[in-house]
Amino acid sequence: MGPLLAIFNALLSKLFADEINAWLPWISDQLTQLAVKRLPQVHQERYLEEWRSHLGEVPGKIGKLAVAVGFVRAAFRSSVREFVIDIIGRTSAVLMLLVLAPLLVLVGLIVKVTSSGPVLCRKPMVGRGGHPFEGFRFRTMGSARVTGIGKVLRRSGCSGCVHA
Amino acid sequence: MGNKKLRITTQTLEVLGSLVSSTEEVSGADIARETSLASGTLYPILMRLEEWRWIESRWEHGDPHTLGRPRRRLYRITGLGARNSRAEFKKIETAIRRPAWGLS
Repeated sequence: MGPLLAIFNALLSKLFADEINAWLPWISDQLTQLAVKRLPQVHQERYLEEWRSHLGEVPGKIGKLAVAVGFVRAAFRSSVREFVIDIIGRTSAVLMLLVLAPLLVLVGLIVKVTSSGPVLCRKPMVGRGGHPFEGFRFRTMGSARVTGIGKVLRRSGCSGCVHA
Repeated sequence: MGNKKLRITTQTLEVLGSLVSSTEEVSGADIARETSLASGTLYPILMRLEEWRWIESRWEHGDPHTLGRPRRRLYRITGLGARNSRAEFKKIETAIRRPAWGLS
């Protein structure tokens, strides 16, 4: 029974090793793709190609796997920076909104009172990293022409004040 | 937002040293081999240096289809990067040369 079991074991571990060996390149590539997805969208295409080519220059499947894990770490580190920048941006936006709130409410009231229709309208805008988002602006038009307060707002460049 | 405080680590100096000394453009894999930095350390440094315009990069010539593999991204140091690297190396050099008892 002993020798038979040993042979069986050896066969099994060989099979297992072969299996892992076959999967390793796939895992490395998946990790690379995962890493790239953490980067800002404008950089994703570049780093996918750059990092795949880097993997191609690394000898050995285990070596490739280690480098791919490094890509995930690299992407995470840079996305932490992005995250901090994002938080700073959002916080200052909220603070600005609070400071400007009385003025914004006043302008909103004037827009509402002087013409019929909604105070705000949506407008597609382009943000950080080329991401599109919907911004809000004060409505400056009333029945197909610019309203009185609208003229003032347009001239002062203040119609697009409110953030998404 | 453009001019953040530049933080130069020893690893950054290693990368700069490798780029300053190489006569031709090199890939990230080349730099990793020369400095033996892990990819997880190297790429954040390269990203930062490129953001500061100390280094620049371009794709190698050729089409991935005809090459049969993804293109290599090639890095080289800029004039600004070379100047600043020399200044950084000099800083380290004077820091090493100054004897400890001379600090008082």
